[in-house]
Amino acid sequence: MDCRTALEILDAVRPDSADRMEPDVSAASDHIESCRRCEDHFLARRHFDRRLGQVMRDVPVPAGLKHRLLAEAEAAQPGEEQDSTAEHAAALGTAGTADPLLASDTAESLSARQRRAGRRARLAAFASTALLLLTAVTFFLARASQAPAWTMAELRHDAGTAFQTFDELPVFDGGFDPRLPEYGWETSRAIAIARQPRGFPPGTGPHAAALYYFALRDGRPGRVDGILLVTPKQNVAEPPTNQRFNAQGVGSGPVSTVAWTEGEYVYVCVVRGGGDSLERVERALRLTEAA
Amino acid sequence: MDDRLAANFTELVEMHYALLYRFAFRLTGSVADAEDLTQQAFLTAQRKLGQLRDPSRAKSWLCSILRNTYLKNLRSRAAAPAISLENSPEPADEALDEAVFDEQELQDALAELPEEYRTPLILFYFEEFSYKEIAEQMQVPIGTIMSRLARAKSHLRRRLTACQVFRS
Repeated sequence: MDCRTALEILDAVRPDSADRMEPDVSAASDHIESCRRCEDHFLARRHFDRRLGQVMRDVPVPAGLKHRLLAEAEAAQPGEEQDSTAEHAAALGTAGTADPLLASDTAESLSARQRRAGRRARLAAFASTALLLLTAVTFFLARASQAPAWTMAELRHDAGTAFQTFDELPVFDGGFDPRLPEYGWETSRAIAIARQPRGFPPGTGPHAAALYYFALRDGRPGRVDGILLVTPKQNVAEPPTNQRFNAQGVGSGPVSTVAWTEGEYVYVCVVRGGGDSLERVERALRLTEAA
Repeated sequence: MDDRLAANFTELVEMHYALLYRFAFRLTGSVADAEDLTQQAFLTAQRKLGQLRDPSRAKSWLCSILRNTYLKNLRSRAAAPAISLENSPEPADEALDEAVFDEQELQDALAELPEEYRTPLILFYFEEFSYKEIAEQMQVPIGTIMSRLARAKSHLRRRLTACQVFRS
């Protein structure tokens, strides 16, 4: 990728955005990291952007605007209802007559049809994700009466499931502080981790775990994609005795996991591929810690 | 509008009126026009509230309504011609670091942009939307939005640093 293209692509990406993990954006970032001149331009532009963004957003909102908006909307209501009922009456060939019962029935049946159409659409959307939700919610509810929610085997299994269906998970509901682990997760230059976690299990909450998507680019071929799950320790029966990320002895498969306990939290890291992917993550964390 | 919808609409206004107004101001450059535009947008949203199936998309939906209202208003009156976006060299990094922003110069620079470049730029700087979300809102391909953002930002960099040169 040439310098100009890389800089143009990164012009479209906000620093805190998950778009950083898109393939072309990753490639542009790789170029910037390997080209000193581009890195200087990129940093100057980012600095300019930050300052300009503050000015762009610094628009004073007129005092009382909210109340004026609500008042106008309220004032618009009676007129709109009368107009719509008159239109419906005209459509039914009753123009010029004022039959309150007919007008109100027409408006009511139209409203009822609209509500039914809306319900059908909502049911269709729910049906398309019912299997995933049923699996996760049933699992969670079965354990809701007893604490903790997971054994370690169950937690690893659910973390793997969540990785596969990450895009469908809701935004984390903030039921606990989903803090990242110490030792490099927030400071590593090789690990890009999304700022906004998703919640698990799926649904509006309460969420027992928060999941962060991350990507590792360490200069070696291929990017490592993964998720980092965090849950309060009390949600886990027999939390891991490991107190640090340790990729030793992890087997291979479609996904691999490492779990450990730090303070009041249990963490599970899930990556695609085998133990070598986890080893790359561990190496990046240790390099950051050592720096 | 039944009570539930009325409550939803009130919540919509309370949560998003400031963002919408600021967006409207950066589009129009005028306090009065921005307030009118915001009001029109919310009246439209009120009429079409039943179409909003997913509350998490309310912000994006409202911004689309506001933009469409703005475009309709533009068509009904002659808009100031926008400049063509040139490909002249970028300012030096030092010029970017030293740039001091003047509110009026910023608004003038925005007004020089064609609307299809100005809108994604404003949405970008408000840090509310990713380029994918902007592309979806404006119903243009992602690559087009990325290109427009790059050119619009380049225009601002040249324009806002050139002002410093004239003043110094």
